[in-house]
Amino acid sequence: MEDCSVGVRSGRGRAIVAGWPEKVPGLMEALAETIGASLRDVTRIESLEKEVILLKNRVAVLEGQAPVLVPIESLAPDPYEIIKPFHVVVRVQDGECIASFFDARISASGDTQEEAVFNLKDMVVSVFDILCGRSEDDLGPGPAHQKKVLQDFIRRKD
Amino acid sequence: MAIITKDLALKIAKKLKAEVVKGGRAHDIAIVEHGGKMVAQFGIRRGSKGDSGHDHIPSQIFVGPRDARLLGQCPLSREDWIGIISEKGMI
Repeated sequence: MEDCSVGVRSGRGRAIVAGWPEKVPGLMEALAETIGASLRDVTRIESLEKEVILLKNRVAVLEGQAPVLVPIESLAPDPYEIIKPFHVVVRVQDGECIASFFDARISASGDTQEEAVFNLKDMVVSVFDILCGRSEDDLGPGPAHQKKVLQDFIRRKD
Repeated sequence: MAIITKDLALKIAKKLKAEVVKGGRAHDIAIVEHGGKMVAQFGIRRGSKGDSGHDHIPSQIFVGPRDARLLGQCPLSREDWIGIISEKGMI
């Protein structure tokens, strides 16, 4: 910053800088540069703020769609017990939640993640009952595989 | 918006000549048989609205969402579906 005290004389409380008219253009230029730099900073910060908001929204959407792994350790109140706990994957697709027990190739839908998991557990016991009521000869490859997998994970309570 | 709605799920069950039986608390189960054997099953949410989502069905009947939709909408026949899942070793 320029030293304005040079050539100053006081009179009636007012300070007058000697040769100030020559300094005005330079000062104005410096002021314009300072204001310009501040405006550039403000513009840059506003632009970054908008980017951050967009990224936050994007992250929120991605977090909402990210598959969730849910451990299944109980089938209560249904009369079945878990031999070996298993995980189901819940994913969001077109605004709908789908829970899948991939090993057993069983899936169910729901309006929420909780509902999808509830529905999947309901499906698991229903399918298990249906498959156990049939002999191996009555099952095609898909259901035969499902039966084998389900028998590894759940059983009916005696 | 779901690709497979409950209305479409019921049409798929009908197209595949599935036997729909009562399942657990929340579902009816559509059981599809071929050659005297059960080859697939899928759940139909009980009590839900006609436009409720059933996008879990394609994987249950071993096809993609597009083919599942075509099954419900008519262009794909039961025989076409049998052909598709036969190629996948599901019959």
